[in-house]
This record gives sequence, structure tokens and C-alpha cells, in this order.
Amino acid sequence: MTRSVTQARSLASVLSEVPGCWVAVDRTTGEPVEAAASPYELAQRLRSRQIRNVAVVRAPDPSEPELVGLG
Amino acid sequence: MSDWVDPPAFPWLYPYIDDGPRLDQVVQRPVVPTALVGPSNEVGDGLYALVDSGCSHVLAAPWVADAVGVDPGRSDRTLRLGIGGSTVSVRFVDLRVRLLAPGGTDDEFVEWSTEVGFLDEWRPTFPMILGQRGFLDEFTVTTSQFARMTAVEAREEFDHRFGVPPAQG
Repeated sequence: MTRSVTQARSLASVLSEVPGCWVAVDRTTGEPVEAAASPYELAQRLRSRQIRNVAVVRAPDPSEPELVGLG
Repeated sequence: MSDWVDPPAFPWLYPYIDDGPRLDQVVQRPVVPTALVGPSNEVGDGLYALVDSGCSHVLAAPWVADAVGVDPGRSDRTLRLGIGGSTVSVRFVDLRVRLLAPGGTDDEFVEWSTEVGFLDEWRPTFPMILGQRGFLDEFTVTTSQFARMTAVEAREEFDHRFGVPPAQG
């Protein structure tokens, strides 16, 4: 059996609401659960609230160019 | 590679993830959810990680090391890499990496050990990059911009599908 997931909400719409912030997104619903200006602050909030089943990503600034040649 | 719990069977399919908006554009990337595990079994938060066949390593943002209780500054395994047009120093640490099952909880994963390179400064939006060594040598990974999906299967699946080609020197 193939295991897959489709998210209810596009990540772009979530990220557009918090430009420049680090965001924890619920991996099933795609909804933002927590956001912070720094990843250290976000990690601390996730830990203190015992939030699980999320994935962390940074919302780019709208004026930020696409980055290529990452590694 | 070791399975710590009873994860769902492969293949695992992940939809491409939005990267943006910036400059009024949204690009879609092959991204999978991951987590790192530190030497004292500290499990970090779930991270969206970019699958990057052009990268030879697994690389991560510096704060990710902090979250799993390691100090890359104490590593003597360093490498200079060109990233995003700049040359940076990367320090490698042996860690366990978890690939989280699509649609699953943090308890559904496969886990393996590899060296993870940490940078002092991190510019990508995704906090981890999964490259050739430490990810693409652990699984058979298929990315389709047409389907906008990433498929992860057991690494032997490539040989089952295409036969065993002679190794290229």
C-alpha cells in the first residue's frame, strides 16, 4: 500500500502571513501552530508547549530572491 | 538503517512543498519531513528538509545542532563548501536522522546514522538539506515535477526495477 499525504492548506499562504519568521506547521493539516522571529525562540516555544507532529521552515521575506546552489 | 517502530510500508509519497512567496513567485520543492537525534537521544523538532541531488552531504542549520545537544564547534571534521555563491566552512557530526512517514506522527519513522554538516550561517528556507551521502545512498528516491511528488522506497528498489548495472569507475 502506498502511504501519502495531501495538505489541506498551501504552505505559501501560511508563509505569506509571517514573512521572515520561522514557522512550525502541522504536518497533517498544513496549519501554522507556532511562529517566532528566531529558530531558537521557536524551538523553545515548541518545547515548552510540548508541541509535536510539526515541521519547521522559514518564511522568506517577499523581497528575498530564490536561492540556488544550496549545497 | 534501523526501524525503531513499525512504520508503514514503502513507498512513501510526499507532495512538493511551496517555497515562497518571494518576488511574487512561489516555487515548489521536493521536501520531506525529518528529525535529528542527538548522542544522548535528544530528538529535535520535525524539520522540512530539501532533497537536493546536487549536494553531496546532509547539511543543517546551526540551531538544529543546539536542539539535539551537539556542539559542531568541537568537531575536527571540517570541509569548505561552495553554497549559494559563497564559500563556507562546514563542521560534521555523527548523528541519527529520522525520515518521518507521510501523514504520520513523530513516532512513525525510519532512522539511520550518518554525518551531518553544520554551517555557522544558514540562508535556505528549509533548515536541512538531504544530499547524496547520508540520504540518497540510503533510499531509492524519485522526484517528479510533473506529479509534484517525491517517492521514497527501499534502496534495493532501484535494482529490482532496473537490474544491477555495472559500477562506473
